[in-house]
Amino acid sequence: MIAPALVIGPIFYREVLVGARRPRTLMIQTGFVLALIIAVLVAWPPAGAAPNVVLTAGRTAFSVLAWVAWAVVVLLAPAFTAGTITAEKERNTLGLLMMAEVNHFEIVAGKLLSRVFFLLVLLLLGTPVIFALLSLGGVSYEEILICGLHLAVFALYGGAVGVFFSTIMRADTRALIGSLVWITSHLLVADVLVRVLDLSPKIQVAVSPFRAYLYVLSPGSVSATTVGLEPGLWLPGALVLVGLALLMTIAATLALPRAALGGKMSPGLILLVVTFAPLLRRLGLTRAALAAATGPEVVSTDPGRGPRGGGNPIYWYEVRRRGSRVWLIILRLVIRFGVIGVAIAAGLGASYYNAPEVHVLGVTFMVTLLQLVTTVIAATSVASERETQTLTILASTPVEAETYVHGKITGLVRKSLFLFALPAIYVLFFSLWGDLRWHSAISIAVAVPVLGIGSIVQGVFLSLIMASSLRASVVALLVAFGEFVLSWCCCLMTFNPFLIANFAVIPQDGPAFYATGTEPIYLFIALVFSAGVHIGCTLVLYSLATQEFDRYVGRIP
Amino acid sequence: MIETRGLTKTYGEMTAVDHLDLSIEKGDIFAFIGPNGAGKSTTMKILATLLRPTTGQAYVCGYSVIGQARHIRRKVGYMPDFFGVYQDMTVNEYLEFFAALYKIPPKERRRMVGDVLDLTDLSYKKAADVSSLSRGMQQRLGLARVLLHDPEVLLLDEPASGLDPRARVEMRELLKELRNMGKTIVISSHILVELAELCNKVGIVERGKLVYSGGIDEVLEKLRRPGIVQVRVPNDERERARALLEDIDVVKTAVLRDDLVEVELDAEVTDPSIVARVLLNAGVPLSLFRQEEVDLEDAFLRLTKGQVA
Repeated sequence: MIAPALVIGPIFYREVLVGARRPRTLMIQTGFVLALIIAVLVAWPPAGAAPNVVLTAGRTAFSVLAWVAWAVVVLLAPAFTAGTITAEKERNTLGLLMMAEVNHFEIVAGKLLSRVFFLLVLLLLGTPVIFALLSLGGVSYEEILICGLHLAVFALYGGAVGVFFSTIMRADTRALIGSLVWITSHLLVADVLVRVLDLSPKIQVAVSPFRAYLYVLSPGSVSATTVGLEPGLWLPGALVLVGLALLMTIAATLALPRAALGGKMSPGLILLVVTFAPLLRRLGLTRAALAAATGPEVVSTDPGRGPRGGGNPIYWYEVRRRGSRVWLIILRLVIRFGVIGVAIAAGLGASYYNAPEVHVLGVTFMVTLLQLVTTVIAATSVASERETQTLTILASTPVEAETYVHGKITGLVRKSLFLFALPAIYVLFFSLWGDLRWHSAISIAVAVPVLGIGSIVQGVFLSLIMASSLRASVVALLVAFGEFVLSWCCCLMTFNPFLIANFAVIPQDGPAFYATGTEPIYLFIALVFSAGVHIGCTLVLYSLATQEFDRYVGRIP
Repeated sequence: MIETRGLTKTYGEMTAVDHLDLSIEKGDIFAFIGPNGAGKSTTMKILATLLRPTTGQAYVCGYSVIGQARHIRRKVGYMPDFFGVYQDMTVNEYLEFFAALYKIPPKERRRMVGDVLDLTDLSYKKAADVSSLSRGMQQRLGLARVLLHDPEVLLLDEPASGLDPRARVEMRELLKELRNMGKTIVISSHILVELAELCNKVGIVERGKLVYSGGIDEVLEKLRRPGIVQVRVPNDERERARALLEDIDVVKTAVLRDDLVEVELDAEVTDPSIVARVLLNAGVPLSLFRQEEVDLEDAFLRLTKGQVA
């Protein structure tokens, strides 16, 4: 058992103290509570409403708040922790910390728990708002508490993932991207698995955190045989997440010494080494395995060439920036093979079980991944240059706003072309195969570029105006989440991967999943309208970015 | 080439640059010195068009930093005190990238990059990753970058900071080479002895104000106190020598300073050799006899009080 004094030690104390002083903490807390209050006010029934209307309103409001809180936890838990160890590395203080009389586990656990502590405080601040719903009915104390427990456990898990990536990566943005890709893949892959394999409810909630949370909010959607919440169903999911959080923390602890030495890490191999650590230790191969995970230093003799001809140098740089580091190559491979794997699994699952809704799930995954990846890489593109102070040098050159912004955007599009192409190829293939109508391919061909380029322009704009890449990433993700929520109200589907998939993917022998009974042509018109609005917004941001470029990069126009 | 008139930059209550009037001619190597926080980097940034002055004007190559910043960027090479490096780029790619940003035609790019690599002695490192270079090499690479577009003016903010002695010597030699090429250079540094050797003009700032601006030789001459003579005698004779010198009528004070005896003569004394004669007549051997020497470091210390803006 871990002694409390070991975890609630000086690291925890310092982090909590420093974190509490940050104005950002207060702003996040105020924003979160305001968002909850607004959501409750919107859902609050009018005076004198019928009792059943009040009950339904209470239930709806609880569901909305619970999902908002879940999204906040999923996004913020890794964001809170992704910079915690990388910041020490950047300041060159990690070595000093490790030389102090604290063990490695205490450093990792102290950092993790202090950041999770802030997230729990954030959730606790929302408690009065959530408990206000009890006066409406439709929701019980028990449900609220179990929901809170699940959120807390996910915060712990998300935080542990963030700390792990923060340990093995060099920069906080890379750690954030790694954490988000990990968590998104975990949620989506686990969900696809339990659906495709048609597992029992008990296994479903243990394997898929999303299903476990869904069970807490709506038991009937996971297990048709139960009415109330059964401990046998809500507890396993929470316990599995605690176990995973502990594993990630141990993995981060083991990786910490190498991180302090500044060696190049390959996350995939480190994870493998950590997974098989007991076996390797027994065979006396731990050191050799870690050395193999680090990889030999590759010395290039090729001087390389800069931008070709009269091409845009910023575009060249963005495309060139793909990186040759081992971890980046592995991350790219994981994303590519992961997304191809999901596409194949979804395609096979849909055809084998004759369940076209799996196509929707697969397309949702692919488009969500496109939106997440493009948003984060765009949000870090300029801000990371500001952090490394290369932007100052760039600003002192005669580079023009159009060259810079256009180069960044086209470079980022080129860089994520694979993610743009895959949903289109997928839908085109299954349209030709006969599973989906041909409208689907056209709709996806319109919607995906609009969403992807829109996310990139939005990300680049936020990156221009934000001081740090971590801040820009978090704000860009929150804006994307806001668009995700708002798009439901105004049916602007190109802002929302879920709506794109549900509107655009139309099975051969049935209507679109979301708009049952609506003719594909009307859906297409709605899509074109949404695309028009989206393109308009994107152009406004592009124009702002180019017109105010000098001010944003800090030079005299 | 560079002129500022009443240049002022404030951040809220704090005045970083206070009515600075500078005039730097073509071909000048201008040493910009002052304590930390005196406003040197802020002035450099304004001249590099990276900061808008609060009031006043600054002209570089005849262009105003306000309204004509684009023209200035083509004429100026700015090297900040700390600059980041692009990851995953070789030295060659780094320079070609900036050459393209300066719109150097593709056909000329390779030649220009080769030239600046040769000049900065980095040709053998052109295939190396930029992030793998030592601090000294990165500074040289920074200098190579600012030379790519053959600028008329170089603004170098602390180019020798953090360098080891060998790298500093290399940097100094490189700057001498640029001086011979006829560039106008504004350079800020804390290593004042090296600046004195390199520069012909100096500007000393404190709390954002210009304390002195002019030729280096002139400031040294101006600060040299007349009537101060320094002598070096064997250690066991120092006290006797001091006492002997104090007894001379025209000597105001004689004090021991480091390994020297420093003598202050009356203002009307025109021939300080009386000091040497007295000592030699008394049988005190002399290994050094000179008038007081003032270097840039002394000038800096005498003109400033160590106050920041």
